[in-house]
Amino acid sequence: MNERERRVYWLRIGGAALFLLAMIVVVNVASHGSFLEPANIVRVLRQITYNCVLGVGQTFVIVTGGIDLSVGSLVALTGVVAALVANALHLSGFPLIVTTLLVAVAVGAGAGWINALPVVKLNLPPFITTLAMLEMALGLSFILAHGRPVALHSADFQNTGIGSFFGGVTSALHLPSVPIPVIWMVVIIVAASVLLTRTRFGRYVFAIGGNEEAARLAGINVARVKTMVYVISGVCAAIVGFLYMALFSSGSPQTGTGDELLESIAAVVVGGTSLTGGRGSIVGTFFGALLIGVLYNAMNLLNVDSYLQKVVLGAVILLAVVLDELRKRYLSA
Amino acid sequence: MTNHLRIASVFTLCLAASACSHAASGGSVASGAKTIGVSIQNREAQFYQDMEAGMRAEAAKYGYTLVVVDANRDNAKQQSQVEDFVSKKTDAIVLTPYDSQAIGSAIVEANNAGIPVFTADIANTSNEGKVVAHVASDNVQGGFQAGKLICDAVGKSGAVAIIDEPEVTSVQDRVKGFKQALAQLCPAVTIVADVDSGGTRTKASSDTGDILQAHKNLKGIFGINDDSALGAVTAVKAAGMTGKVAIVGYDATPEARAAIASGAMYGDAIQFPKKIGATTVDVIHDYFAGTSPAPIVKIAVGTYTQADAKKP
Repeated sequence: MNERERRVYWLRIGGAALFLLAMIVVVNVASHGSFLEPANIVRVLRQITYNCVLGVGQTFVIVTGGIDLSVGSLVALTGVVAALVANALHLSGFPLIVTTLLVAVAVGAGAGWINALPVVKLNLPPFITTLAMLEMALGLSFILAHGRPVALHSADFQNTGIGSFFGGVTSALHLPSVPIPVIWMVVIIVAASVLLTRTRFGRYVFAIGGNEEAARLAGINVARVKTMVYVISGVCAAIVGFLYMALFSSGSPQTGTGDELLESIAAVVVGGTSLTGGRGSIVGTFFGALLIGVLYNAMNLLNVDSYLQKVVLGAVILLAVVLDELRKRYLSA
Repeated sequence: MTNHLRIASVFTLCLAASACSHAASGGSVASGAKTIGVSIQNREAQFYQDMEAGMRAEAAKYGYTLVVVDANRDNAKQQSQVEDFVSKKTDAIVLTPYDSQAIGSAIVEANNAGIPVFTADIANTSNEGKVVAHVASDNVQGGFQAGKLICDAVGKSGAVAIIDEPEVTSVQDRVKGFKQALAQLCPAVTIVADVDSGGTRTKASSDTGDILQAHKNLKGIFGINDDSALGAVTAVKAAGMTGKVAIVGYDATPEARAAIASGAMYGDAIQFPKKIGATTVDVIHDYFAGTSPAPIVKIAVGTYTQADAKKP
């Protein structure tokens, strides 16, 4: 880092921290202290889990310069498949949960592979191939579910979806227990972050996003790396589909088809990952998802009108990317 | 690209037309007896299966022949089904439009052929086409029923929240009725939050979590459909407040009934699709007899609680 980069870095961190701090203070005072209660902080983490995990998968794709529009539909498809499989299996307890998860992940990985195939073989834009997958997966989940939610017969998933860890320890310290989905999120963030920043595969992902032709000439198997990032995104969608199914005790063809896709992309971009590829981080995506989640939570606590919430969210996304662009220009000036 | 699309859509239209003429030919038209063509937007849904059963039972009473076809969530298909009814010269047409805007042009075709059109459950919202009568649930009264359940559960006073989807007309009616019930039956109960969760479980779950944080004394939640209510159930469960917050939904889907049976939900407003179907045929019967029916016929909505769940 040179002097200018260092200054910009601290300006950015400082600016973001100041903004967050100011927001927290204002919201906490306005909500009579309920915002900073441990229970609320844990609740926000639980709420952002799904968006964050989708965003983690999306980050890999976007760093290569691609996009995955199918994640929302894949949440629906994998949730429906998981529920159907769980109902069909004559298992219970841990074996049932693991088998169901593995089937969902296999479906997600397969869909990701199909997403990547025309991208790497025919050089088709991922915007179109994943849009096609969005439609196919959505239609398929409606067909498989006969258009209505598939209710789970077994109650064995309830702990996975809604239960908590370390209940004894945390209640002794008068703290809320940690929801199991949040543990999933933390594990996925750590694993993905290591994969993206500490492995050869991760360096290839950045190299392809920076300059695909140069990466190819340097001997990187571009097709394989690109296929892997769509598979990773599909797997992340499958985990979200599985967790939602466990939370609601049912797999619905409508789960995941609302704001999930766009909010996952927003989390990635607000987190500083460039939509043109080559730059980004998993931790950034976590903070992007956190910012969106905190905004929603704060606005709900303050009883902000639902329509105004959308305006504020849009404005914050715009502000984040504009600031990021200004920073880039300053650096390259 | 556009050319391909055009060819594809023409092809689909042909397919749809041949499919439905095939389906429609299943119902034989007895000479002399009146024939009613029915195009249902999604025959797979339990709601419409029940509605069809109600229609069939009532039509049998009058000796009418019903020709029921499934538009299968396809507007083009529904359009060609109406054209088929026109060329068959059915005596009346009943529609549950898949797309309440796009259905207008199909209704115009039937109007031009002089065939009376009736709608059930979903209305024609386009400016085109004349519909004799629309038969549907009374959503204002249904919302009132939900409000009554909340008043029963919460008591004289307390804080309640609405998990809303205010851009949908039928939902606006439900919320209107809900507020009327509270004003009349338990005026000291206050609505402390009214959020737009888009009628989805995921958003309803996270929004309800926030509401519980902001209003720890919350005693009731009205979900404008069962997905909203079931989303709220998970948030209440996660907050460890099961049993302290009464949740009321709308529709009484199988999952909601299970939640009501287990006590996770307090109750539901429930529509009567069979009655909608039967009344539609009654209205047509009146029309054939020469009386002009009311343009909108509303079917009352009932309630479903744990007591109903315990009945065999």
